Amino acid sequence: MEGYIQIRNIFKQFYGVYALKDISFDVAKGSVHAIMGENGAGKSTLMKILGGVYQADGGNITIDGKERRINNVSDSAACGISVIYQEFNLIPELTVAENIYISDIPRKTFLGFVEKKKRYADAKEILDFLEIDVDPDAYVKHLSVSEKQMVEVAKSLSQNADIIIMDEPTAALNEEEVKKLEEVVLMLRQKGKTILYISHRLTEVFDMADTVTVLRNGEYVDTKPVSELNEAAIIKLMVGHEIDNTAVIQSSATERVLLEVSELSLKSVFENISFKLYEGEILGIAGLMGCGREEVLAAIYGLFQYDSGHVLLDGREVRFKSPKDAIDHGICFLTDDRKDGGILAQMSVEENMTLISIRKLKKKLGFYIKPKSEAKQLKQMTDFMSIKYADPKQKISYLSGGNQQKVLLGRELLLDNKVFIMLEPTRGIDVGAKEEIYGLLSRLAKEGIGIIAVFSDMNELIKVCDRAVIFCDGRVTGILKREEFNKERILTFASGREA
Amino acid sequence: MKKINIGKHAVVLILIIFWIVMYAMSSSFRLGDNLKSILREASMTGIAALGMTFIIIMGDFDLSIGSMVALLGIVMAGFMNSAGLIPSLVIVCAIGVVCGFINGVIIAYFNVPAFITTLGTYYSFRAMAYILNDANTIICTNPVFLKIGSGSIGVIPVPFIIFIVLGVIGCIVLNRTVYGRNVRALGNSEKACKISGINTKKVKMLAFMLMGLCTAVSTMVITARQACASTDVATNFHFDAITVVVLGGTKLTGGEGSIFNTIIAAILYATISNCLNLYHVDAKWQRICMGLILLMAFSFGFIQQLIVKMRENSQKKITQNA
Amino acid sequence: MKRLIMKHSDNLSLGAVIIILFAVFSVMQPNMMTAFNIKNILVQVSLTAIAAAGMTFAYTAGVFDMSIGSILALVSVVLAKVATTSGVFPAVVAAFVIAVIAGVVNGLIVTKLKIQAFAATLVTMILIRGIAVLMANGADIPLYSMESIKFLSSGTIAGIPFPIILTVFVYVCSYIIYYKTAFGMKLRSVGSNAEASKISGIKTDRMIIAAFTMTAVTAVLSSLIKTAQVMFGKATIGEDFALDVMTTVILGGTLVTGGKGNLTGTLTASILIAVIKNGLNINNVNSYYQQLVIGMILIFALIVNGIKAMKNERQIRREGEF
Repeated sequence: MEGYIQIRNIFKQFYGVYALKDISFDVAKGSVHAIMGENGAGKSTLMKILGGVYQADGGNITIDGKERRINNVSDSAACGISVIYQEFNLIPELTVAENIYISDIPRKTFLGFVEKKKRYADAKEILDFLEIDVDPDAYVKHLSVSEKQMVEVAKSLSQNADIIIMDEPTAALNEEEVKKLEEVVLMLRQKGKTILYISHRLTEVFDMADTVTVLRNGEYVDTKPVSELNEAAIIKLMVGHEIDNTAVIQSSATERVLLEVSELSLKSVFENISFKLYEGEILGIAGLMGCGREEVLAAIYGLFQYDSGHVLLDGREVRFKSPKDAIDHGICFLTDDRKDGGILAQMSVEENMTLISIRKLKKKLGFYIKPKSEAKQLKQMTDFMSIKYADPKQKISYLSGGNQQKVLLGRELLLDNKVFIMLEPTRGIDVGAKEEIYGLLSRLAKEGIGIIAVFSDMNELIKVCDRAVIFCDGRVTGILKREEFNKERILTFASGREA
Repeated sequence: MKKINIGKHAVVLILIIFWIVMYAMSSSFRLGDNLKSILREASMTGIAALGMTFIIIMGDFDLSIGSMVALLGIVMAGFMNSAGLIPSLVIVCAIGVVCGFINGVIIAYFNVPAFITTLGTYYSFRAMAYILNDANTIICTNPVFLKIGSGSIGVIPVPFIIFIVLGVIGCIVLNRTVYGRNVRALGNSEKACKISGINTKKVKMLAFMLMGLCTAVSTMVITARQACASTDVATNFHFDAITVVVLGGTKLTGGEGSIFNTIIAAILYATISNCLNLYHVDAKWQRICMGLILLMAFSFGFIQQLIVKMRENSQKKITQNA
Repeated sequence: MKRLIMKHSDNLSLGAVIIILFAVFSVMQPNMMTAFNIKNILVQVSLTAIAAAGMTFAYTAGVFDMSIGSILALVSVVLAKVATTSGVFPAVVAAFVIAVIAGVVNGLIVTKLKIQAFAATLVTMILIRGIAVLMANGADIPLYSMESIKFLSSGTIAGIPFPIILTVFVYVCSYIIYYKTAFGMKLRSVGSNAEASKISGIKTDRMIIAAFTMTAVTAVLSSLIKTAQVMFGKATIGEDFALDVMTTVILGGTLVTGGKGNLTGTLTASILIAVIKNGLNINNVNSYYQQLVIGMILIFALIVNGIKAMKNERQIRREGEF
């Protein structure tokens, strides 16, 4: 039987790197079809192509027997597709009813009068059908995440979408809210709608979906009905072969505990987080999107405050009120997005490198920064890490991603830090540069520095780290030693099964 | 020898061309007195523009400086007759810093957008000037003081000397001090600064206090030149200062800028206005001219983006055809 | 009932302040309570209130317009010129044409040149003022005793002065547009989340241009009243107008960030400011003190706004974003 949605040979590149390679599969009409895969598998990209936000570089999409060109958001809507993104596309200052019918408005006249009562009634109808208890006159900004999501679903229904795509719909929901969503999805299916959704939560998939498609590294793996699968099978599909462990980095970890985190909690964000970091260790932090790991690390660093729990540095209890505190104690932090929170784009390589260290230089030289000392610092780090640039005065934005990352690392290294917290140290960096960074991390570890690194790519985690802490939904679900590393195990913990 | 980036310092080129053309075309332009007067005019706006450069690099604005000049002028002139020259100069600097402090606290610690805050102080400061003096004008007669505005040391007007000295200091502070580095970093990425442990609130507040100090010095020069302090002075001062900074190539979005460029742009601005006068262009048209120049300066960003987009498009076509 | 009070608590507290202030002033100067004086207050209110209604729409859409003072002047000059040559009706038509052009130009600069509202309207403020000064050629243009024009400011319908009727009319229209039309909804949408609005099919650029047109049109109405009051076409009026209007809107509780305009608040705030001015006037307080008071009220209102915004931020932080 022919698929209702036929996806054929979809390709998509970003800056020469393939996000999707030759994706082909079918989606049956009226089914609930889950798309699964690790972080970076290409799931979001595929959905964005269907939603008209991205345009595929190659391949075609056929819906209900007719080939469709989806070049923008309105084309997608014309095909009967409605996408609910993780960040939602709702207007906070408008009411629920207004948001549900927002696309209708432009179709009416420029100054047309809107019948409030009718709109309220129509909205109530949809909300009642979905058995959602939300007041159509309430402002969206006052709604909870779950309620906002329901409004998005209602919006899709009002647009008479036949195909509803949801991107990680349950990422921010609690158990009860997830149940509610499941009910709604089943209702939609009964109405004949086709649902495509991205999720990494195994339990949900078995409750909600009929079929599962697995992507890995931008490539298509398989599509199977849920009845023929179990959790272990899905994980195996997502993970693929075991990697070659021999290329792994030697551990330099000692017995001495550098940093200890104990029962750290922040209401609604993370709960009871405990783990240790040893001297010379590279500790990996694993978990799927929304698991709370970045928030925990940011809280430890002092970017915001946690509610309860303890952080011990070298045995002494500390609590950082601000990043400056943390830096003074020898802890540093690198974000995952260099452009937003890392580099100072319009400033030179030299200035970026010495941003923090000049404050320490200052003590010896008053407020004037001797150009020679700055240059010396830059040279020191350049030699240590082989950073490539044409001219120290060059704007850092001209450097490659890998070299920019090295500059940021250098910024922290100039300060005699003992603990490095890094979110995705190798994001957006080509393979060769990645190897260099691994080498650097290993050298740092040898000198006794403790490194906490968040890795989304499990291959990297396994290759580089001595131990791994795995997060899921704001809790630590597992701590594994090097010997116990196993992609399937890690993914299982990350998906919700506790140790 | 530092490599000089021509693109960044385009304004120097424009100034040189302008001067060469005017020198050749107009005999009145060449007069020593005329050139001196250009430098004098440039200094009055320029000194304030130095402070404004810091503020704009940081990503903010200060619209209140004109009213500060009114207020500070009255305070200074008032004290001069009773307390003497030096004390009144010191006091005016102190009050300038206080005015800047007021702006800074509201912007940095209460998170009120800079343009609205300084709009509020724009009215408040001038109102205070009126109140202090009942809208009268105070005449200054101290001859030493008057020299600050109208005198010259050799061929060079005193205000210009002050301007250059402050400019050099400003350059050093911006490029070679930790504080200057922090200001530029803040204009680039506030998040990166926070993560790096920089106290962003303090940096902002200090920048506005610095602005207040620069305005105070500008006030000294302006009041000395006019030989009186009045409450109606400098009503478009913020406009002139911001135009000069933007003309110098500093983008309104912040993150980069150059004191040197600001200095050159101040001279250019004064030159243009001087030329308009020489050619007897009506005062009414002059305003429009200046407004158009500002529009052009603001549009630099847009024009740059256009160029970038055109380059991207042509590159895309190449890769698509490949 | 309690819910109703909570919902409108901001506006009610403003209203309470008005009543208290009025009472205080009346005790100090019994003249305040006369029908004559109250009528005076209400007429004064209308000037800013009308323009503030338009500005409220602008803030709702996420922009604001600093050029309305200059539009006030330009319209005044054009009105006088055209009225004395071709009659009242063509004059009024010309005035509205200018409003639309000004609004569209402002809107285009912001949307097409991608210059922020602040910079864009700063430039048009100067340019439009320049054009007004140019057209007036240095003199005020007398309107002689054109009775028809006088009606705009001193005429009455059923005993109520025309300006007040116009204000009521404008606000009624504003309420209808804001709450009942698709246009109002689209404006709120754009101000609240421009990206999502675009994705949902709203033409954000058009909305912004429309918002600027509204501020210009209401400025024209204010200008009609003002010109009629002084019976001269003046290129110098409205120097402080933009600030007065913005202060009114912000004081009225409209959020600077967009999406939520508070028309009732704006109206209440205009009355409050007029009461303050009138009260101070009657008590023979310097008009400069009045400016100071208003400047300080603006700053105070912003600080309160800022504190509220900070509290909101803390809530967002708890949801795990940094």
